[in-house]
Amino acid sequence: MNATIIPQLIRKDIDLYRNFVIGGLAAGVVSILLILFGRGVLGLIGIISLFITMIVFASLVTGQCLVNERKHQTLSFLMSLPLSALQYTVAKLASAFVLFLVPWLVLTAAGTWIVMVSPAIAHGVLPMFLSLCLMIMVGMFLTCGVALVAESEGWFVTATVVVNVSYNFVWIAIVNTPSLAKDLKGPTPIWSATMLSLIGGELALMAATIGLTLWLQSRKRDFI
Amino acid sequence: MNSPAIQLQGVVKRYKFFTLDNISLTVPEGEVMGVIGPNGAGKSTTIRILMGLVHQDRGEVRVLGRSMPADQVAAKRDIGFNSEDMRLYGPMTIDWHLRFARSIFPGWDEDYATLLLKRFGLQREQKVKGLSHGQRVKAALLTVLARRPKLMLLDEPTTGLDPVARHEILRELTSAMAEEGRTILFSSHNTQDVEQISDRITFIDRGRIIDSMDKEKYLDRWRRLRLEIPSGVLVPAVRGVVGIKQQGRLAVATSSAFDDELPGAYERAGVRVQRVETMTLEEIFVANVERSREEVDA
Repeated sequence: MNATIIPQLIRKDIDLYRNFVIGGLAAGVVSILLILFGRGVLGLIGIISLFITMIVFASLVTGQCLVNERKHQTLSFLMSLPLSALQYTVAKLASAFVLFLVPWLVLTAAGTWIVMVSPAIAHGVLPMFLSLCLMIMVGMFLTCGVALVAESEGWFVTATVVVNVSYNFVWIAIVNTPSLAKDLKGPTPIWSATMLSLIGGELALMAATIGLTLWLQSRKRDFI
Repeated sequence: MNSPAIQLQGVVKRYKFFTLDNISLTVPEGEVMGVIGPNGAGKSTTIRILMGLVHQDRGEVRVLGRSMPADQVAAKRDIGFNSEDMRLYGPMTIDWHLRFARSIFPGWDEDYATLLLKRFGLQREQKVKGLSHGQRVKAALLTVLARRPKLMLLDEPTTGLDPVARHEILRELTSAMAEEGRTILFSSHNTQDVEQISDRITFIDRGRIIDSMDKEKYLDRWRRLRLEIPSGVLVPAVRGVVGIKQQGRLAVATSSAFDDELPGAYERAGVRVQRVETMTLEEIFVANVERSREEVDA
């Protein structure tokens, strides 16, 4: 595979969407400040808005970076470059990942730091916090995959709604799983086998999504 | 004949409601081929197959000696593609697009890009979203021309442009043709544009190539004969005449293989030839499409 043009395409997307990254970071900083300095309900709002920021940002990145390329008819320009459909897919997945990674890393790191230093939060919640952050990244790749393969804004919106709603079910499932729930209020983070299985499952789902997307794209006979 | 820049052999592409049917076409290096066809004739599908963006179901496609779609990445380094529906990134400036294209194409000619900016009346710092349709088309074409591609595939690039913008774009294409070895395949339903710059012309309709030859040959071979038919005389079938429209004692015969003998054939049958008229490319195109559809429908 000729990989030389892929970095240029990623740089192009960073140029195009860097304001979204800045916006995502700004919203994240507000959430962190609310958690740090807000008391009671305000702190809770901060935690919720931290996750909402990540979820909304994931949808925005996918929508702007992938769906708009087709919707705004810039795909013809892109595909006039020395690029195959598979290379385009790799570039787009990488762009979405890089754009999402910056605020995701900052917010995840800040959240981890808050959990570890805040006397009001049990340290045992950290594995669940990290698994939820990772889940949002998995969701981002799932919606990316649907957007790329289905080439339809309707399918992208449907996938986004399904993925975002499913976070609630995962959260409820974690809280209602005794082996996970018992560790949440503990004084130290416990990486139980169940938690590691959950994180492993998330990583496997992410890898499978990327692999399946690349495979389906490589089989496409009509790209535009 | 130079080595072919484009070779399509028996290419078939089937969609639910449209089939590109057994397309065979060769464009030698250094030639400008105009492809004329009505909307939905298969021009864009053909060009997309040449770009590797659509894979043919059957047949062989070679572009600049490379097999498509397998070698599309290597082939596209030397192809400049522009289509009517191609858009640049609205929030970004023209300069950003030029820098982006320059980072990808080693043969990028910055001096030529600057010259084209001036000729097209564009400013580097203009954002694409603030440009008129004509300016957007020019900016997109600029990113193609300054690559100095060996082959240009242009899918209706002048559609929707005002006459001045069309003239400017055709002038630049004509100037680009002056470069030795540069091949252009230019599709349009505007016969005037195609006539202005093409060496050879291919007519395409309903997914089939209905005719393909040198532009001058078309203009030489096609004639319209205005006939007066005395009562009691039947219009004879004359070789080379592809259509006759009769109204009372007057008729119009269209010939696709006119020679000096043809009026004599009518005169000998008692039909008076009032006038022999040359035909425009548009008239030739329409007559060709009508003949082809009649043949298919029959």
